Amino acid sequence: MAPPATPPVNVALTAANQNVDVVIDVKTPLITNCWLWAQRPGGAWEQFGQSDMSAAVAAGTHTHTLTTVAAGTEVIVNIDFLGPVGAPVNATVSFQQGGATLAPSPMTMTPTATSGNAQAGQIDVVFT
Amino acid sequence: MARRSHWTIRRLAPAIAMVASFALPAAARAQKDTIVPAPFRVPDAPAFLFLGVSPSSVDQPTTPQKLAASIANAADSSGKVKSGLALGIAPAQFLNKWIGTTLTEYQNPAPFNPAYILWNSSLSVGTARAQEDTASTDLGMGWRSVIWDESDLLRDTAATNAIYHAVQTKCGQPPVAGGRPPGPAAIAACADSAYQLAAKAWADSGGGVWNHGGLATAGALGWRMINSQTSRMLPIGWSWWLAGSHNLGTNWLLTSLEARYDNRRPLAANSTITEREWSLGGRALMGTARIDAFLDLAARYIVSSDSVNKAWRRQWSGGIEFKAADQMWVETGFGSPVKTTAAPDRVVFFANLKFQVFKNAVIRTQ
Repeated sequence: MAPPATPPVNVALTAANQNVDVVIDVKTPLITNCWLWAQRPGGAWEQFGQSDMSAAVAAGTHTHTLTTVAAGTEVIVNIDFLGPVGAPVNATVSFQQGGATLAPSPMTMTPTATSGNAQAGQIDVVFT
Repeated sequence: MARRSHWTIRRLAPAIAMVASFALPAAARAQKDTIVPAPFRVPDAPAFLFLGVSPSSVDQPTTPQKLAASIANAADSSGKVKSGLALGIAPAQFLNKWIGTTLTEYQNPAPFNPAYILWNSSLSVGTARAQEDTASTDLGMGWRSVIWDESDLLRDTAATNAIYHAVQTKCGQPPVAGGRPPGPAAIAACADSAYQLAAKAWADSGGGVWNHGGLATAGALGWRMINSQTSRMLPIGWSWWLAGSHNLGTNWLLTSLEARYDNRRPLAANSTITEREWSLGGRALMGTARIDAFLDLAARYIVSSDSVNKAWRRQWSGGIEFKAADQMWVETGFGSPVKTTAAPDRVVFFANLKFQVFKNAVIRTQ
């Protein structure tokens, strides 16, 4: 199992064991795919939000609610952008509880990998 | 089925050439070194075309800081502008952070879609040493906008949906069930592979139709900086291009029109008389995704502002172009020789005709 390229960013919950909304905002005219993953303490990685994000080619704002999020839960959001090489991308990820955005989000998705016509980036956080 | 048509075209190629060689008048068969009609597209970088230069590399800054650095490098220590500046700027690159455009907005089929136009607009800026006055520098600034382009894969909802779903199902899965999700490098490689397959299938099918239409415009302005100083700038003139094509609802015809206006002031003659040139061209392209015949007509009218000098120039050309194999397009033509926009990979003489071989179709993409 390969370790993460960079350590996850700490995001402080305002209330433990409550719901967290993951808001992914994509505003770029490229073909965009998103994947949302979460690993609860001691558990395996689970994929969430597939059906939410399959709508409208993932362009626009997508929200998925993770229920009963405990401290120590790690969340990964992967986004890839397909289109002209070098085209600018514009996507942010926010974590919210009770309508309030949890710092340090919103986080801007910066592609860290490029392959041909694809650019991909990852946001990796752990709730504390 | 694809293999059969591939074989057929290759076998037919000599026969087509033979028929063409007998069908054409002798004068038409006496081809010049360059064939191919006037370009039916607006220039990618109007500023460079206006200045008459072809920079080997174009600086494309993606941030305001890089843009400022590029501009700063255009002047020497004494403040004089240097020749050789070549900048290509995509406004969407700078504005995307504030006015993001979604794919849904991009694919809006409205004839005038500001989001699409912005995304497909570019600015070009260049400097070149003045031909008649080596101490001075010419500055050109241009813009180019694609109003709509049916050959743009990203405009095709069916194509982007197919690519999206291919990537969604094939990429993003962890190497082992319940394991850590794949990283960006693995996702990018997988997504690119899925994209390439889907894009090739789309292109092979002609993206639905082979005779895509489109509309684009461009303009350029020029100044001469006397002694290369920005404080002494004289206007040289301006150019404007408009090019459009439409299939008229058919799957066998593509008609194109291009208009150009050029207004130049001959600074070397120290004259206030300007030279104006109107160009109008029309093209009919008939065929299928693998073979087409083209006929071009073009006219130019050049007149000085005092109406003393007037000249009409007309030209015509025609020919055929066919796909002999993957990445092998063969074209031959006749009529008025006009410079081609791409150099052929190979030139073959057969049946008293000159055939140029290209990796891609050069006529239909002009």
